[in-house]
Amino acid sequence: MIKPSGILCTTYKQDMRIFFAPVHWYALLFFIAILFFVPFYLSPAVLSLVCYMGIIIIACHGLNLLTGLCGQISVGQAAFVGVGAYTYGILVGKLGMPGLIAIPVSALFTGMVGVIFGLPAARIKGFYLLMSTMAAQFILVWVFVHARGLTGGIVYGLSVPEFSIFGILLDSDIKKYFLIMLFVGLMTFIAKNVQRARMGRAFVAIRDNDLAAEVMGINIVLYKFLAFFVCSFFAGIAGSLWAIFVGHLHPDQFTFMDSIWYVGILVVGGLGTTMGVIFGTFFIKIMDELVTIYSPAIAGLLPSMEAGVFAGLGIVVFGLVVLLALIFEPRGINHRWELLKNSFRLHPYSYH
Amino acid sequence: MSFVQLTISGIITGFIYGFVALGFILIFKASKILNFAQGAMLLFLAYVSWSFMAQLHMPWYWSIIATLIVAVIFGFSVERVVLRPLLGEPLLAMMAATIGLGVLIEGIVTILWAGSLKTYPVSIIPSGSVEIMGDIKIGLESIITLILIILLVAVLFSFFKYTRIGLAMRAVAEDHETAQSKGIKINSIFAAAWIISGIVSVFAGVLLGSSNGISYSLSGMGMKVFPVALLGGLESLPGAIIAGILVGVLENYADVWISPLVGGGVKEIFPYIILIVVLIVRPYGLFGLKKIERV
Repeated sequence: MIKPSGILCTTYKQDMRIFFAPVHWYALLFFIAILFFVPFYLSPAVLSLVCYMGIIIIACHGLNLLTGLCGQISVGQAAFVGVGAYTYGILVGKLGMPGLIAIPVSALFTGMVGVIFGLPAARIKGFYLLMSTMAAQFILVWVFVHARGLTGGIVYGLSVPEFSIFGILLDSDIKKYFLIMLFVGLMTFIAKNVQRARMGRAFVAIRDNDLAAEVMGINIVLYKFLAFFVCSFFAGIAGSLWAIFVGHLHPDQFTFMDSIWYVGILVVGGLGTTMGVIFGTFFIKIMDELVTIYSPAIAGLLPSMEAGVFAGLGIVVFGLVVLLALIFEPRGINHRWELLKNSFRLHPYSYH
Repeated sequence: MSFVQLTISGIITGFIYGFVALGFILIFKASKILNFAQGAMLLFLAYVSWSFMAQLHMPWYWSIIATLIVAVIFGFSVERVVLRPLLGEPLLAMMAATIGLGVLIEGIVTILWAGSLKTYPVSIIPSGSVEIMGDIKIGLESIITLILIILLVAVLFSFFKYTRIGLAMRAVAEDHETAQSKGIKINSIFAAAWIISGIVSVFAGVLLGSSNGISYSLSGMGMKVFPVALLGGLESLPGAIIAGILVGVLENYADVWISPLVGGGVKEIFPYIILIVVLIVRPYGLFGLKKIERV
């Protein structure tokens, strides 16, 4: 990475900073201010889209730590989000636990469930592990459907009471927006720092060459369990927020296809980068919204297959975008963003 | 249902599982890619064969041949358009590409056929039932399906054993660089693997479609290749058939004996429970090479 002009680092610590110049801090404050004021000017539809994006960003941060850093594809993230959501719903709705305590508890529980499905990591390495996440997806959704006493099954679903904190009831989307954005900021901060810390470096070492990682004293089994735990922990947070925001849980909200969307978001944004998660989520969700907006027009052009266009156009575009991203820019949107920043920094000259 | 009846119907379903898994294993052996698009391929090709038959009013044998041609073109273009640009990228990217491909194909199927249940206008396989050993009934179509699959598997196995391209495919499965040094073109072998996998999917799709109709459940069927292939050892072709039979029979037993205890529906997820157990207990499967490195 090319640093802004005039920034010279003499220690490792300086080199690892996230913010190099005061202007970065101003930009951050400016961005937070925008995030603070923007919900008051958004239409309800856009506001709820932004909230969904926030939840997806948190889930994808977790997936990024497992897939992007530790190199294990997971096709079960949606099911883990579901575990978080249902755990939150049951803790708050049936046991009457305060929401603020229920969020970390459900995240911890989801982390445990993640470790259970990560257990085969003790025996094997390589891509076989992704099969266990696939099994997790199908088995967990089956549990959501069949544990009717707890989850309400497929007929009733589970209604989640409104979140309240210090006597304030979060009963509108704007109030929920602030809660979600608070968590997005917190989890992005944690994700970025896990990546820079010992754990993240160990993940990358395991991804790049597990034999070498082991020789360097990294306990591979332990760190793989940790990767599964952290990934599911993030999913648990995202799930709790999902439960708070949506208010009514149903097994259809956590399908295999949703898990695939999470993977696609990572691939398009750029695997292994924190910014990539955010870029990917924005890109894919906005693309999906555009498809929803324009599909009536396209369905009008093809009257014979109207029903199919409504149902299938979104996933066709999504599949196409993932394929094109892989073929033409495997390092994702984030890489383009870095190139843009570099060319700006190097401006009069094209080389370093 | 009696125990024998359960076992027999499980064996017949299992043969189809194993047969679908063959296509998956072929691609894995040639390129170490776990193909997520297998279910979508099955779905797509079954619908294509239906379109040839019902919408273009072709006789069934011509429509199967036409679908085979579509499968060949499909396999060839997948290699050209999707895999060749990704050669040299990490395996993760290639598998993500098959995920994208699967989603794309399912979307196209949704747009073209709206995902509705279709049945073939003519019955390809005669129906009826045969009684054996007194009270046990087996559908005639199941027996014919079974015989056809055994025949197709025999053809496939002899293709690997006796033809030049089959030998080349086995060489590539063994080691890419050694195979290249003997003058085998890896790209064309990849294409061949996808084409044969497509052809297998055509037959599996038509057989499944003629007994149960064509619907999205075919795609779920395609996902079951993961447990089946893993149980069989991922590398082993006969292993896939045996594992398929095992999974088919076990899921039938689970449906009858475990479902009532937990409230039904175990059949759908039992293969995945088997998968987890296999991963923990015997990750190289029943017939796989013990090459998977232990951590």
